[in-house]
Amino acid sequence: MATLQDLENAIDTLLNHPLGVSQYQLVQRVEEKAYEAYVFGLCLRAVRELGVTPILRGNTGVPAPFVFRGAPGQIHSRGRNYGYAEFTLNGQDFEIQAGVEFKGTSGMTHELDVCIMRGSDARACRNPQSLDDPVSASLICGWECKFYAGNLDKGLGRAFVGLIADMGTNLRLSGFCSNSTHPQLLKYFQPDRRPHPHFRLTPLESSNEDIFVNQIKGELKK
Amino acid sequence: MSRNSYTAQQALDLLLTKLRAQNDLFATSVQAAIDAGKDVSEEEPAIDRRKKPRVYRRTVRFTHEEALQVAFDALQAYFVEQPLFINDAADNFAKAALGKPTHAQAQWMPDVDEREPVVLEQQGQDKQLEIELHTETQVTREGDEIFVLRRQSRQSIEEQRQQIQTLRALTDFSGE
Repeated sequence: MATLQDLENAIDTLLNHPLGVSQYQLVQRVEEKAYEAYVFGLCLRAVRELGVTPILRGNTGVPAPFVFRGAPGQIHSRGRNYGYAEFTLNGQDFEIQAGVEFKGTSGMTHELDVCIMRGSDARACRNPQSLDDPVSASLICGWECKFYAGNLDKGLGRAFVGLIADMGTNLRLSGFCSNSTHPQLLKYFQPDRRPHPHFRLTPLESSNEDIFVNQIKGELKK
Repeated sequence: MSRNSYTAQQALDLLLTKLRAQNDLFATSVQAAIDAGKDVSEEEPAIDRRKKPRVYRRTVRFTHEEALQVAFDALQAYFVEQPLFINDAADNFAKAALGKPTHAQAQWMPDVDEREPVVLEQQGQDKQLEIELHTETQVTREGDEIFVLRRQSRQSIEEQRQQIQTLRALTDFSGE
């Protein structure tokens, strides 16, 4: 029979482990961004599985280190050497970007946590003679990424649906990615043209990762 | 015959007390996940027996057993999933290549139709991944500028995954 002391010892072992509470204190500031980096990595994997090597680039030079934006920013920003990835598939150039703002069809700007966009449009926006935010028509795929230790907030799903509605009809694939889930949001995302729910998208659920990666591959192959 | 000499409520109280002693903010966020409760479908028999019973949604609080599992899910998100996100990202970035321009950057006039020529380097090698802490528009600047995403050992992550499994087993009150 397990005693309260057994339980206490087990809790102490968990919390005092190097990946215990000290891990929380370390990553808490960047938990959302670390999740975006993971989703960005899954996009790299999708490209690689299509037989193409994604190339890491930086806004001001070789991306060593590769820097993720800490807040929504402009694609042409040279505040830091922000990283992105480029690749060519079937003669078309694409870029994977993180935390970049796009001009919606209404003219309002929106940030996409992770996205795949047309390479030519990204280069045009970085051109020193025409620095600008990319228009929503540049987008191919876009994802909202939410790390949650509890149940997701319903408002996040509603906000992303609103954002996608302002992104026009060129956007081929959109998704709401989270390590967590929400039963009602799952239903909310079911109608056509709503983002795909990628709930429990985590390395602990490799089948969900495969679904996410295969969806990207399917869209890019079109 | 009970498998544990404690109740689910005692186990939950102990877990939250221990967590609060180490990090109040963390304990509060775990408590919030628990206090969000859950939706259940309730069935109300129809007065007319020929009609279907009425089914409606009701938000209820978690049982102490369920609340323990919610708490372990939250701990797992930080102690297991977060390090796995970083390791997984590191793996996928390692398999990508760094693009080094074949000429001095200043000589290149960005062209909409043409990608800048680059040589591929470091494919298969780990890349340093950083997250900006001080953003471009931030006025006040103090503390670290950036956060470096560092790999964690598979063994450490596995130890924590196993420990959460142990705790789930220690707080399994089914069959009592």
